[in-house]
Amino acid sequence: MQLIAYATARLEDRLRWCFNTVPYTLREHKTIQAKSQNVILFQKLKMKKEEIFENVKQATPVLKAISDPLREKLDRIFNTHLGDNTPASYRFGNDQDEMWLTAFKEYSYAVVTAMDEYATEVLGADETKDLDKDIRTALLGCAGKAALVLDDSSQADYCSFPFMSHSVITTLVRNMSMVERSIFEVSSAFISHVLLGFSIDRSPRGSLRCCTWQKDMGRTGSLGRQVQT
Amino acid sequence: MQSPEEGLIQRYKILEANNKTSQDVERTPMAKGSAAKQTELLSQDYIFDHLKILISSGTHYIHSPEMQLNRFHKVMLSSYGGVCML
Repeated sequence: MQLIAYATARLEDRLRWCFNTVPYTLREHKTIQAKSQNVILFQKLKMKKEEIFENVKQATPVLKAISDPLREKLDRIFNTHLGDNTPASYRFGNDQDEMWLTAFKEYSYAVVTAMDEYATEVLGADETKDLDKDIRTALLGCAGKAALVLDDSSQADYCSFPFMSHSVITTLVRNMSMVERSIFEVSSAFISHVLLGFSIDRSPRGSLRCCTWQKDMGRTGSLGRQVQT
Repeated sequence: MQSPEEGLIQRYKILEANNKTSQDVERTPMAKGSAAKQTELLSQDYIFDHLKILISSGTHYIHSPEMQLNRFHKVMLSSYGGVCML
């Protein structure tokens, strides 16, 4: 498993899920969230959200709708809440850590607001309707789908991971370089398991959790306790 | 004047345009310098796939500090970037 390449692919996928032609707007998301307060409707709406989420994951992304200015905007939001040298950045992806979860909630809110504003701005400026129909549809639904993808109650894979941007790579590299020898030691342990034919958790959550290993491991390279992937 | 990282991206694009993969990259034994680093990077399948994602995402990643050739080479071939875990 090549961690940086793997993390980039998975987190970039999460961003691309927000830009497709599946009809789902922020207003619809808010309506579903509001109705979910009702105990009777909760289960039914949860299933509906899961169904939409699956459709969003299967849909073909409209890459032209994810412009560089939008990526830069998302990158700045990441740096403000989860990146740079913020305390949360040292707890990257740790969904058991209160500080990460609090910062991630603020990040999610900022991302959804920024996407909504960006889409309104771009679509508002397109008075002559020059934009491709797919791009318009993708922009109309991006904020709603971002809210759905970043919903940490969904329990989906990577539900508490941010969208990809270049600062995410910088943060991952910094965090992983702190535990480089530990990663090497754990890798060696896995190799022996593979050779012995033991089963290993290959789930994405299991593989990416090593981003937060520094909490579990001493920085000297030795394991603090048995690592659970 | 082309920078080393621009060279990496250009070589990747040429390979992709010709339907080539990481396995088609020719290696020169004992070679040094930027060209050798580019070759070493492009001959790894996971870096090839990684570049595909970065390049299909516009210029956002290409102009980031992490893409500077020496840095990219060091990261992608380090234990967290490159050595196989599984």
